[in-house]
Amino acid sequence: MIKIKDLEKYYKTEELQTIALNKLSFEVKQGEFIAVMGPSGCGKSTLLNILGMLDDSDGGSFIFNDEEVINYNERKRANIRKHNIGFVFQSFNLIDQLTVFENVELPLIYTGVKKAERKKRVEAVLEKMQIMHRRKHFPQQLSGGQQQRVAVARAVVNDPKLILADEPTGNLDSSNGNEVMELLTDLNNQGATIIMVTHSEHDAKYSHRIIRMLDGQKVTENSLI
Amino acid sequence: MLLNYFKITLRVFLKNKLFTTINVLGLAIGIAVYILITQYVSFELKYDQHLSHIDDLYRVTLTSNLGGKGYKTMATNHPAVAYAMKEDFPEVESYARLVDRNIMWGTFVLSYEDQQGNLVKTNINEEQLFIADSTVIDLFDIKLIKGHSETALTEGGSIILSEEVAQRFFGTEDPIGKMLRFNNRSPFTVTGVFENLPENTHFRFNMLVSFSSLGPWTEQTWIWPDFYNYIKLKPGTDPALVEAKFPDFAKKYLSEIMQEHGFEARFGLQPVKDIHLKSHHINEVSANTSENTLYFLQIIAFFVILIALMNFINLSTAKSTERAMEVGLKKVVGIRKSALIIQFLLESLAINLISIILAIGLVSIFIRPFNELVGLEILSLGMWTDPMVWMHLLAVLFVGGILAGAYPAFVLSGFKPIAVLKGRFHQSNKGVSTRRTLVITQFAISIALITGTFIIHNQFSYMQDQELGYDVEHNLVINAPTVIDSTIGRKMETFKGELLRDPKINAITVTKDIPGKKIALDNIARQAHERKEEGVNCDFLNIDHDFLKTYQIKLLAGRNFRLGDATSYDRIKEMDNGKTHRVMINKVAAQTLGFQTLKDAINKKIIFPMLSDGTEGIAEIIGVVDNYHQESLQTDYYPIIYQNYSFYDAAYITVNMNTSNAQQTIANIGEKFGEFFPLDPYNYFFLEDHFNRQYESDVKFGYICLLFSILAIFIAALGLFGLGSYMAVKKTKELCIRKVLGANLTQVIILIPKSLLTLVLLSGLIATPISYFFANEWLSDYAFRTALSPWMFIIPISLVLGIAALSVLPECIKAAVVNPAKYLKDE
Repeated sequence: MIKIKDLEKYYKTEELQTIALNKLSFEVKQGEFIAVMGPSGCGKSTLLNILGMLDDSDGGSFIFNDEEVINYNERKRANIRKHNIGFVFQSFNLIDQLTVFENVELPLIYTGVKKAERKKRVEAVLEKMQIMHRRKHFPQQLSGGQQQRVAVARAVVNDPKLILADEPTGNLDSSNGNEVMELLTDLNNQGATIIMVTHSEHDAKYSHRIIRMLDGQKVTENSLI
Repeated sequence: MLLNYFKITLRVFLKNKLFTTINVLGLAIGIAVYILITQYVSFELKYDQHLSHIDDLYRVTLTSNLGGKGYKTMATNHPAVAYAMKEDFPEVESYARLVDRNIMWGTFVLSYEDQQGNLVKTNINEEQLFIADSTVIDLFDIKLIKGHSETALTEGGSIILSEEVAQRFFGTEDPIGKMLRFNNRSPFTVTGVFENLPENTHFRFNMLVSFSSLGPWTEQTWIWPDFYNYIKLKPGTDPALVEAKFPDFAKKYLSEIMQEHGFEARFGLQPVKDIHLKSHHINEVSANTSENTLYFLQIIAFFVILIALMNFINLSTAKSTERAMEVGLKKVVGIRKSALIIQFLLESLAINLISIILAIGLVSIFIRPFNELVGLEILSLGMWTDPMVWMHLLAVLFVGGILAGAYPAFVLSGFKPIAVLKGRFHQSNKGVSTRRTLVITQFAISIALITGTFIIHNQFSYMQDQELGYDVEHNLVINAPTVIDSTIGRKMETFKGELLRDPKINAITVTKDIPGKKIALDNIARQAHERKEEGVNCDFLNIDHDFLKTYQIKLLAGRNFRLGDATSYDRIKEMDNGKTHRVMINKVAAQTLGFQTLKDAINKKIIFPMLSDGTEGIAEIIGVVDNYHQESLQTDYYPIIYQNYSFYDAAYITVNMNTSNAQQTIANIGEKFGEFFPLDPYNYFFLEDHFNRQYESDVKFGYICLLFSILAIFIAALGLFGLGSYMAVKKTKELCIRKVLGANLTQVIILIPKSLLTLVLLSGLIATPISYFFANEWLSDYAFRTALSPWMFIIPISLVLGIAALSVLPECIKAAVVNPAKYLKDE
């Protein structure tokens, strides 16, 4: 599903250039659950952003579903993104002014799904995440675990082929964290490909394969299955 | 410590150059507008306040129903009124009467010998000459620089001049004892020179002739309501007690005349201090204003400065995210909350202080343009010595500085250091509704102002596009000769004949008044079979048989005057002998006098006073002419009776000419005029210019509205820019999330403007009924007005929407193109 080769990314300030990704290469197959680990600043999040087509790379190749997307412009990337990729963030990134229902509904609006269909799909996913009873609440009225479940609901409402999760349990206590990890595992079991950045060895154990990074490079890759 | 505060303040300003500039510029313009309007309003409120007897000084008004159509109040009165009041009422300490020289002597040439001994002639129309009782010097606080205030105006034949006139006429020479001649009248001797009157007095004159020059008859005259009568009551007198005696007073002096003409007259006292702000009577000596307009302006001034201050608050809070880290760090190292508050208040005061300094500069630069705009010497550099101005500025500095500084100061100093330093800093939603209300208010004001300006502009173009009903483009008007003898009639005919030999000249008419100017004479007329009390008020215009041809006015029924139609006084006196005084009337007069159709009026007899002593005579209507706009379109058509007297009573000669190469024709006419009337100056003007001058004050009012609209919208746009930036900062996260979830750039960019533009639309909804109300009020002053159409309201709202969109878009685009990956990670 994903094939990256010699992927490079630099950050430049006035005086110095930092290498975030240094000729990074790996593959992810459809239905895999990958954990990316490494110390702060090793390039995990940069990698996730490039995989999510939120950021450009400075070199290398990125094939997504047999399509070379490295040179795609913003519009094309946005198009692939909204139909194929769902995001889960550490800080949930829900919109405070919108209700649970409206937050989850957003990706469907941007992919042009009709209203009646949206309602059906949002309710189905809220049901699945067991937060249907909270659909009229605003994010600040929910606990952290509930907020992350809303965020996951939002990430999957469009049936994305790929879910990118950036430290999804980082802001949660262990029981809420476990719940979210169970959720991701379920989704993976239902066919979604998941790439998760995490600091937690515990969370990484939910995955099939752990890629460890240092200074923008892959140092080890070990399979757990 | 203090030095440290200033150092930080300065660094903050330098770091945020754009925001500081916007803050300072917005505030400076707001303060400048505030100063300008406040000065204008205080100028208007101070009218006549320099008079030391202001609290006891009253004008005697006359209210009567003479001529039907209800009661009308005049600012003028009969010359005997004030004299009799002084005789009858012990409360009256003194009185003064003034009358326009035009009422007594009409137009004339004023001549004098200048410093070089040359005889200089000037047309009196350019001067403000009144005939006044000697007591006017005391009542109106006229300060004599030369001459004695007690005696300067006591003798007949005395005249006193303003400093400006004395200087203009006689230069450095002592004017006392100099002679001024008004045509053939016996000369007037200059007995005094007075300080120029202030601009803000309701009664402005630059020459006064002694009332005693008129003779003693004025003390007994009760049928000439053209004199301004002022009385000074003894200090502490209740004017109501004096007014209570007026009904008996009126009965005593006017009962006979009231019975004869079937009308009622009442006298009233009007405090002089109220005249400029409240009085709108007939025959006002100068144009007055209305208190409401001034209050309205003052409210605008207040709002403009409020808008500017709130902009400051918006911009400061918008920047607070960037200041949060500074606050957090300072708190960690142990700074007290009070010290933080002081720092932010100091910043606010500093911004206000810089803005005030800039505003003082701005106002000083715009003194001249502003004076020219309003047509009055309202502003001068001297205003900076007025403690009131500084009181206002200090109030702006402290109230504005502290009010505007307090909100950001408390919000910023209240940040929790740990949350801020951990980057988990969120801004509260508090104040959002305040800001929204403010944006709605400032845009409602801007929209109302722009709508007003737009409607004013529409009314002006409507008026300019209107057919006036007469030829205004091809007419040159010359001041008619005033130095005349018994041969003038024949001389004038020959003069006309000579001019008409020029093929470029089409027609010439000699008249008492011209279209585009208020007619001086009005009186009561009625059909011959009607009773006196059925009479209606009509204006009387003396013309000759070429008037219709020269002005291209249509004749609707009957016939025009012919050469032999002119009537002399003798014939009026002898009318009982079967001779006829023929008149024409206009369409409105035919209707007002009660004729069924225009043709019905032809050959019918009407009665009106024909001699200056009020003797009535009968006249026959020979023609009805179409209505035309005698005055500006502010005034409705009114009844006019056209007379054709054979005696010379002319003020203007109108020449209808081909206007190509006009200068040559004008020079030729001048040459002929000089030959025929060597003692009169050749003064001419184009009727069109003269007509347009009627709209000058409206045009000025329009410009002032336009100026304030532009400034208000500019400041409001600055505010919106501030709010836009604030929301952009606040909403960047939301924009990023939406982008991640698949929103394209347009969908994201439009998000902030959409909510702000909704506010602007809401302002439009609020402003529309308000501007509709005021527009209707303003237009109701015009007898002929443009119809209000929805476009007049939609266009300004669209314009403001456009400006608003432009002012928020740049910041929104900036927020929308933020890399969501980077931003959300930083969050």
